[in-house]
Amino acid sequence: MNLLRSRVAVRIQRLALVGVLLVTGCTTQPSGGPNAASSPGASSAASATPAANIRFRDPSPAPGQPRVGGTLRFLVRGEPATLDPHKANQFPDTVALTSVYESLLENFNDELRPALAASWSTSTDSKTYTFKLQDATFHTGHRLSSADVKFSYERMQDPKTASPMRQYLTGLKSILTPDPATVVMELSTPNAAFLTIVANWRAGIVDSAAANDPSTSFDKASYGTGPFAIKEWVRGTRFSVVKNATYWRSGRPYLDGVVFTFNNDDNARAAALRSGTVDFITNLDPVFLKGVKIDPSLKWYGGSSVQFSNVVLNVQRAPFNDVRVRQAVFYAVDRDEIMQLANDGVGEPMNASFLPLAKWSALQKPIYGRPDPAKAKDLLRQAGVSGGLSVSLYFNGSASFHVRAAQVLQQQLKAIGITVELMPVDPAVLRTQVGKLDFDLAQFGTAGTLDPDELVTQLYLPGGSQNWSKFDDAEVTALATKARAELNRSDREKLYQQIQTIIATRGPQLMTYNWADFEGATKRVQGFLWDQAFNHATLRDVWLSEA
Amino acid sequence: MLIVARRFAAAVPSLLGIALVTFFLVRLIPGDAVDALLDAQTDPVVEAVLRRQLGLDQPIHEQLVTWFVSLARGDLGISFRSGHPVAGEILARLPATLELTIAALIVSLAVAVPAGVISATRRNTPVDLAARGVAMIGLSVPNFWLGILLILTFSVQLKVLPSGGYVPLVDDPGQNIRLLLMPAITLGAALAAVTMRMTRAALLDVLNLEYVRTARSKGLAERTVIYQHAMLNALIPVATIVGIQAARVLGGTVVIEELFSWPGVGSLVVQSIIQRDYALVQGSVLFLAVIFLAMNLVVDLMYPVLDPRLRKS
Repeated sequence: MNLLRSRVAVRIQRLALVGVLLVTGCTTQPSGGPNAASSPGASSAASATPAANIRFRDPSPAPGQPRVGGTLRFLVRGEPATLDPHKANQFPDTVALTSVYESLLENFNDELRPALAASWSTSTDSKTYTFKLQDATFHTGHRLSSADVKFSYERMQDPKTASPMRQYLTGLKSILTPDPATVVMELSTPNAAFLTIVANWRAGIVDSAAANDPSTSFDKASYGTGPFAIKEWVRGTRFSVVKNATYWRSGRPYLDGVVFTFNNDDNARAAALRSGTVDFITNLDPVFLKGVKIDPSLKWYGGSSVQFSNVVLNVQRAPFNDVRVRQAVFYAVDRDEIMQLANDGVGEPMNASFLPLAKWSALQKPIYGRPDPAKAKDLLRQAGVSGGLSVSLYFNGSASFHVRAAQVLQQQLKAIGITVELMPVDPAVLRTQVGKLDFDLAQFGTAGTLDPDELVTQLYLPGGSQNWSKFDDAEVTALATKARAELNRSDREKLYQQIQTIIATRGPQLMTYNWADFEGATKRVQGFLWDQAFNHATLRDVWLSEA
Repeated sequence: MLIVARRFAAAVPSLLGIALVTFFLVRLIPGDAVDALLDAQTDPVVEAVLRRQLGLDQPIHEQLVTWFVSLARGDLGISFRSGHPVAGEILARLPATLELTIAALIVSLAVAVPAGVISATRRNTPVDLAARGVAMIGLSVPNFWLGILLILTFSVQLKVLPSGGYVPLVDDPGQNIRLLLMPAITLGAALAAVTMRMTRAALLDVLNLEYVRTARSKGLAERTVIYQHAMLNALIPVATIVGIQAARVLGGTVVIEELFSWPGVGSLVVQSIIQRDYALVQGSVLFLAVIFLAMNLVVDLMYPVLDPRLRKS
C-alpha cells in the first residue's frame, strides 16, 4: 500500500514492543474510555518504552509548561494528492489531513480512543453502535451535530465520491440521528471490527452545510473540527494550517500553525533537518539515523511499523495453483536474509503470521525458520516440476528496498531450481499487471491495520480489495465470517490464529518481513507522540521550546 | 513580426505530430490514472465511477477527438488529479522555472564566457589546461551530487543557506534569492562546462581567420581584437548552445527541482506521468514543445544582432 512507501527501520526490540503493545492493544476500549489524548505524552503505548530502538515519545519531557505560539516547519515525503478527507488515500494525505479533520474515534498505536464521539456503546449482537458526540465546532463556525455525521458517512458510501472508505461501509445499513448529539449506526451483519473502521483517519466528519454548497472546494477551505484549519495550499510548494481558536479540546493546540513542505528525496530531507531549515521530517532514512542519534540538536521517533513486505503467488495458474509448489517456496525462503539485505538489517522477519509479532492475535510460534531446500525440492518433485521452473516476479522498481528484496528472493529460489525473471515496474503498471492475473509472483508492501479482520477480508476473502490472486478457500472464509461475529476476544484471537496457520501453510502469499519507520525533529520540538500508522493528529500536543 | 508568425505557422504540423504521439504514448504505458490513484485498493464500483468521471471509459478515438476539439478552442483540458485546468497548473509552476533557468544561465555565462576566452587566448598553457580540466569535471559530475555537496557545505555545516524550498520573488525577495542560490549554482555549473568548451572552440576558430589577422596587423590592442572583433562572431555558436540549454532547462531540471523542493515544470511533468494524469502530461509536453520552438526562434532572431553580415539577408 502506498501509505508509506519509504520504509525506514531499526531492528525491533521485539520483546519490549510485544510487552508494550500487548498491554495497550489487547484491551477493547470500553464505552467512553479515558481521554488519553488530553495531555502530551499520555498514551500508554508511549509511556513505557525502554527499548533503545523504538521511541514513541521523548524519553525525558521538556521541563516547564508547554509554550504557546510558534509555527512548526514540517517537511513531508511527498505532496498530498487531495485535501478531501473522503477521497484521500496516500501517505502525504494522512499527514496533512489528520490535523484538520477528525473521525468519531481515533486509532493511536493500536488503541481506540474517543475523538468526535465522547462515548459509544455496542449492542450485544454487535449490529448496533451508538455514539454520543462531543460539543465541537467546525472551522466554519457551525456546531457539530449528528446530521453532519450522517452526511459524512453517506458521502463516503456514495460511489460518486469514489471514497476508499466505501468498501468498508457496505455493511452499514442505516444511520439514525435521534437527537443532535446522538448517532446510531445499524449494520446488516455483526462486525466486531466496525469501531476500527469508524476510527480510520479517512472517515473524517465534515460540515454538512458547507459541503452541500456547490461552490465547495475541499482543496481551498476547511470543513473539519480539527486542531488546525486549512490556510492555503500552494501546489508544489506548501500546505499551511493555522490554529483553530475554538478547538473543543481546551488548551490545544499550542502551535499557531504548521507549514508543511514536500520533498521526496531522502538525502534532502535529512539535510533540511540537520541544517535547521525545517523542524520536523517524516520518513527519516535509517542510513541517517545514527547521525541523528549522536547530534545533540536533533531527535528521532519511531522504530516500528504497520507495514510489511510480502510476495503474492498467483494461485490461478501453474505452477503456483499447486499448493506443493507454493509450499516449496515457503520452505526455500530465508526471510531473515531478505530483511537483512533489503532493509539494512532492521525490521522483523515474518516466519509465521501475516501480523507483526506485537499485534494482537499474531502467531507467536514460528512456522518457518532456516530455509529447508531439501524439503522444498522434495515438494517440487511431488508436484512433478522437479525439472526446473521459470517464473516472473513483478515489483515496484522505483523503491530500492523492493528491488533488493526481489534480487535476494531470486537468488534464494535459484537454490531449488526456480528461475525468477525480475520485472521492475512502476506502481500503476504493477497494479494493472496483477489485476489482469498475468503474473506468477508479485511483491507488495501492505499496511496492517488495527483489527485483523480488515487484513483477512482484504487479502484472503473472495472479493477482497487486495486479494490479488483471487484466493478462495472455504475454510478461511468460514473462519473469517465466524470471527467477525465472535464477540469474545480470546475466541476471536484463536480463530484468527487458525486462519493465519492456514495462510502460512497453503495460502496465496509469502510473508517476508515487517518494516520500521522513523521521523526526525529538532530539539525545539516538544510533546510529539509517534504513531506507527503516521497519524499526525497529535500535532495538537506539539509545542516549540524557546531555543 | 512576420517571421515570427511564419515560423509558428510552420511549426503547427510538428506540434500536431507531437500532440498525437504524446496522446498515444502515454496511453501505451500500462495502468491509467485510476490505477495510479487507487494504488493497492480495489473497489470495482469506485473504479468504474472514477473512469466515467475522468472520461476514461470512452473509446480512445473519442478521447482523442475530445482533446483535439478542446485544443482547437485553446483549452489544454483539466488535470485528473487536481481537477484544475492544465494551463493553470503549468502557469503556476512557470515563475519558479523561469527564475531558476535565468539564474542558472547567468551563473553559467558569468563563469563560462570569461573562462572560455582565457582558455582560447592562452591555448595550451597551464591556465587553459586547468580551465578545461575543471570544465571536464563539471560535465562529468552528476548534478544531484554537486547539489548535495552544496547543501552539506552551506546548509548543514555552515548553516548560511536554507537547504531547500521556494518563496515567490514578490513575497520575499531576500529569502527567494537565498533559496535560489544553490539550485542555480548546481544547474549553472553543468551548463557552464558545455558553454565554456563551446566558447573556447568557437573563439579559436575565429582567431585563425584572416580578418583577425588583419585587425592585429593594423596594430589594434589584443583586447580590442578579441572583444570587439573576434568575440561577436564567436558568440554565434555559443548563443545557439545557450538557447538549446535554456529550452532544455525549462522542462528538464527534475533532479534539481526534487532535491531543492523547487516547484518547477519538470517535476510537474514527471509527477503527471507517474500519476497517469493524461491531460496534464499531454498539456505539459505540448507546452514544452512550444517553449522549445520559441527558444529556437529567439536564438535565430539573435543572429542578426550578433552578426552584422546576417542583418541584410
